[in-house]
Amino acid sequence: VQSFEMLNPRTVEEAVGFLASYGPDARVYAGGQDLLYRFKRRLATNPMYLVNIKDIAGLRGLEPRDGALAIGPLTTLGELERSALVRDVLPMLHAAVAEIASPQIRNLGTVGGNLLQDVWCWYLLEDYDCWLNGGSYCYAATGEHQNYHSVMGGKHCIAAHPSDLAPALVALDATLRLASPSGVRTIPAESLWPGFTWAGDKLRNHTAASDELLVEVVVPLPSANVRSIFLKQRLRNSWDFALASLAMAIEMEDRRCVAARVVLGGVGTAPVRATAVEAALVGAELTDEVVARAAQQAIVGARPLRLSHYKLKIMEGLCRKALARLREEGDVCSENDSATETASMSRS
Amino acid sequence: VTVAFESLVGQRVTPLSGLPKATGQATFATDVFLPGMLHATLVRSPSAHARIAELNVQPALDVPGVVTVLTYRDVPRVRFGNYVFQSPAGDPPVKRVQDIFILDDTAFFVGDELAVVLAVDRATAEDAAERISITYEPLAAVFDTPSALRPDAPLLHPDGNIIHPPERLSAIYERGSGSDPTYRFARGDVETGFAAADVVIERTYRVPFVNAASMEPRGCVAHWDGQTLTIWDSTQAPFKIRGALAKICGLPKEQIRVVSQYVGGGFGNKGIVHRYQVLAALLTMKTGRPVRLAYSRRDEFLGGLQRYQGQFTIKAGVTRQGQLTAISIVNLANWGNNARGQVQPVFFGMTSATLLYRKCPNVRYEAYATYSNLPASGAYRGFGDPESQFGMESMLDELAEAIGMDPVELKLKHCVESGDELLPQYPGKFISSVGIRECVERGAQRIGWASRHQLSQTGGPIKRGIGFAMSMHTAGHLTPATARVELLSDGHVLLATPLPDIGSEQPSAMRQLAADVLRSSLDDFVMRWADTDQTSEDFGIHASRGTFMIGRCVVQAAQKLAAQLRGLAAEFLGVPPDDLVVADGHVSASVEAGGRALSFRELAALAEGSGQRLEAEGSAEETTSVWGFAAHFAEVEVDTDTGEVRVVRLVAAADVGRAINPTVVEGQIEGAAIQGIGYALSEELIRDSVVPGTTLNANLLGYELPTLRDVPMVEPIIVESIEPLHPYGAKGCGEIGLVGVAPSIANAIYAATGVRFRQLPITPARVLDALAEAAPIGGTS
Repeated sequence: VQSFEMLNPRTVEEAVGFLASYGPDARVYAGGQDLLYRFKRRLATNPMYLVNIKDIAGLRGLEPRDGALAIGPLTTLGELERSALVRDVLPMLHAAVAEIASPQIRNLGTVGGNLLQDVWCWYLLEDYDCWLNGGSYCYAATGEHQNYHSVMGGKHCIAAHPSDLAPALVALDATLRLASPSGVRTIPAESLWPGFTWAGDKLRNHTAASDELLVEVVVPLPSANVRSIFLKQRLRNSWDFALASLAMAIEMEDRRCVAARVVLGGVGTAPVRATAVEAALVGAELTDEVVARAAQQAIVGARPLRLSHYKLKIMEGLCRKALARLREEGDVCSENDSATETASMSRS
Repeated sequence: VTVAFESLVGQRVTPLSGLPKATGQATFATDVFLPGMLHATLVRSPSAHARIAELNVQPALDVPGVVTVLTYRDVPRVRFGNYVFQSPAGDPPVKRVQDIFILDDTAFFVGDELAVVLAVDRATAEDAAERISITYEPLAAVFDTPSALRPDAPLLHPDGNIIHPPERLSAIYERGSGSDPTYRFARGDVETGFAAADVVIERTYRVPFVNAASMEPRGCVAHWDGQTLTIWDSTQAPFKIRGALAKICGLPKEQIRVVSQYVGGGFGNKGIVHRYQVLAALLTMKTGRPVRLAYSRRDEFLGGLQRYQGQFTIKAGVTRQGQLTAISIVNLANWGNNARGQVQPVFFGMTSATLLYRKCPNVRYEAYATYSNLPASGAYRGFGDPESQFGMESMLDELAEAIGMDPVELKLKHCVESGDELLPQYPGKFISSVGIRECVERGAQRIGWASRHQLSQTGGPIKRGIGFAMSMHTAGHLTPATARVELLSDGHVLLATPLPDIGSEQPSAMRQLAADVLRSSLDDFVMRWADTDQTSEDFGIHASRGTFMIGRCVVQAAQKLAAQLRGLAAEFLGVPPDDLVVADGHVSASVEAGGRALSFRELAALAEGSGQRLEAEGSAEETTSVWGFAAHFAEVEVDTDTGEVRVVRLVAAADVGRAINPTVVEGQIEGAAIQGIGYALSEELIRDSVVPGTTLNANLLGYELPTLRDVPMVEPIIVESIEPLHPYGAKGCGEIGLVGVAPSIANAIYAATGVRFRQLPITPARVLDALAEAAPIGGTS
């Protein structure tokens, strides 16, 4: 492992103080699942200072609050996965977490680390002098982009956003709280990931400033008539990034979809809102025809590269599969509801 | 005299290494830590083909804690290769292709070893390695076989880009040179055969570079104490390593000891001499301190050996009645940067056409194995048969369909039988046990082959299908082979066998055989294995040879010891040896002969008193007629929405001669099946096209080994054909379980989708692209 200096703040204030004074030379260290591999690979982009936030109190755990679930960023992915509360009230979030990496990584990796991880482009990990590594070229664009790169275009770098949690949180309309020396700001999760943007001379895949620390994730609890699903397609069914993933939450009223949030992961440099799918769903019943038409909208705006056209079929396929399952689930629910009604009536 | 005895052979006894491994007591090579030990790390080339123009190691030497740095300037300019041991009979040394220097001034692939840094700990060595400055003079490079074969291609080897195999085998093939193929064989005349066919199909099948990804990366600890060079190594061939080091270090063999008791996976891949063992030996001899050189996972991907990339163009003809008339195969094999004498997996590219389908009268095989600026290829479970039999088993499926015949019928109709001569490769050799029919029959019944067309289809995106492939692979040969037994003074029997436990519990099976011969309990044995000080020279654990070759030696040695015991007891009991029986740690006379008995312990004392040694060695001669067979039946679900292929059932029936420990045999069949699923569906070394030759997934994250979620419960079926050349009827079983897996899956995918996949791995991208191509315009999924 390459050498680095570790800073051990005890409070959020102290942590953001370190981040502010060391700037881009410092990175937050929590579960280490993103950082330590890069240190072992001795990458040129590795930071010189690690701000270890593991000893800061109050950043870990789950708390129901005002119709929402507040999640501390130090909560491990495993804790989130094993939480009965999450399983009950946010089953789609549970499904997404359960598909992240491997059980071992989930036991150490944290929610904050998953949301703010670097990209895993194999050119970057091989220390190519790409956009993210001080160069001015994207090797993947002309090279091997078949699996883990954007099919929705990108600015300079086309590495796919690697988080499974991110599309789920965007579909659930979560908000994030970020602390800095000048206070705490609250933003919609969606706005953390606009794709790659320049921060000074560094290209970043999120908008958290170098002196900001994620201190809370707040997920509103969906109403009873919201159905949701998370699907992830990958080359193997554990410990792999998404070729494409889909987080979908739709609100139904009288068999009609009244609201929809559909987000694709693994296909863009950020979680991608599939607004055309949403538009095709809102106001419609989930008939075969609507399902087929809506699924076709999943690829609106796509710009696949030489080797990645197939990912469009997966996006469409996942969308079709998700809608079919949600429709089935709805059928089962309404059957159950009527069964319950019958039962209670006969009892009274 | 007969004594009731339940044979230990065939029993599911607890394997010898199970507990030590589960409890962490088993010592693997780089678990050895010695006082004052230094740590070495290798410096690898970032360039695919380049000569070192300038080199400055001083900044690395300046790092505190660094002991030394070796580059090509500091080591003897000695070429070394694979087989450099001398056979025990004192024959002249086997001459092999030797085409790698200890360290070179030229890098032949991205990841080629150019220097080694020795320091007080690994982190210091790695820090220092980063400070070595090298300026490269780039050279023209070649990355694939068609390019390597072009007349204007840069020359990667003084003898040309086509690899020509070692002279030793020249009796059985036409040795070529220049632009000749690496191997060329023929039986009958294929043109006549094609003319006689009703259907002739020609197809090209492609298989990728893959890595064995052994759980334990390569590595060793070497220690020169002024008298003896001891090396604990993660190798399958301790005697081969000893031979090579003796030659390179200029030491007599007797001054070198190689120990490789536990090896965390080998797969044939850890059977040759690499630079790391040589460098560790040179470093410990230079410093007089123990040296540890352990590969990282990345080292393993770059500095290990890969399965070669093959392109098989197969043309085959069949009559409407289902008679195969001719098979012609042209194999373009991309071998990588050096052959080190081990290009023979390409030789095995014809096993199926010439040997398994022995009844096809006309066969031609032509292979061009070429050098390229990529890591070296080598042996990997199946030794060339998984590569070629993917194409052959797919082709026969295609032919069967073309004539409307069940592929099972077509294949069995042409299959080798016991007693057949193994032509053209092995003239004068006759196969002695063939269990393929039973494999096919039992496997077919288990999967429900007869009703495969009635498999229920949901009508949704999931398509289901069942596929079949059969296979053949060597199951025991290669000499020298040896084993030794000795009665210890406390009455225990020492059994010394030459082969490491690479996960197949080889020593455990040997103990079962010896215990059976001596009618003893397993606890009566003290085991020593894979230690060059303990036995005579042996070839190594390769080619599924251990059970067959070493098994014969063990039985022979144990029988000799039993005879010695009876002889000694006869002397003291005054009873003819024939009236004595060895059992339960005693030599006993029958009731008629007095019924007296001597325990092993008493016999040991008597032997000591009379100055005798109760000790025996067994050895075995080479045979090339022992072969294993398997039938694989796969049931798959193809998701036409996502391109995902799920293997939902895999029935794997293997002819292993006789299972000494069925639990271990099933483990071999299951493990091989899982590796085969990886080969079929996900594994592939990704090489960059922008900076050609760079491996982009030299790590377990990007290299897609299947996980438990990707494999079904494999259903192993053990078929026992009873091999007459083995005293217990056993053959090897380590490799055969992998060979037919990929084609059985590919054939199942065809059955499910109607689309034929002729390139591995069959990834979602390939599935979706092919389905789109096959679908009518405007059609869905």
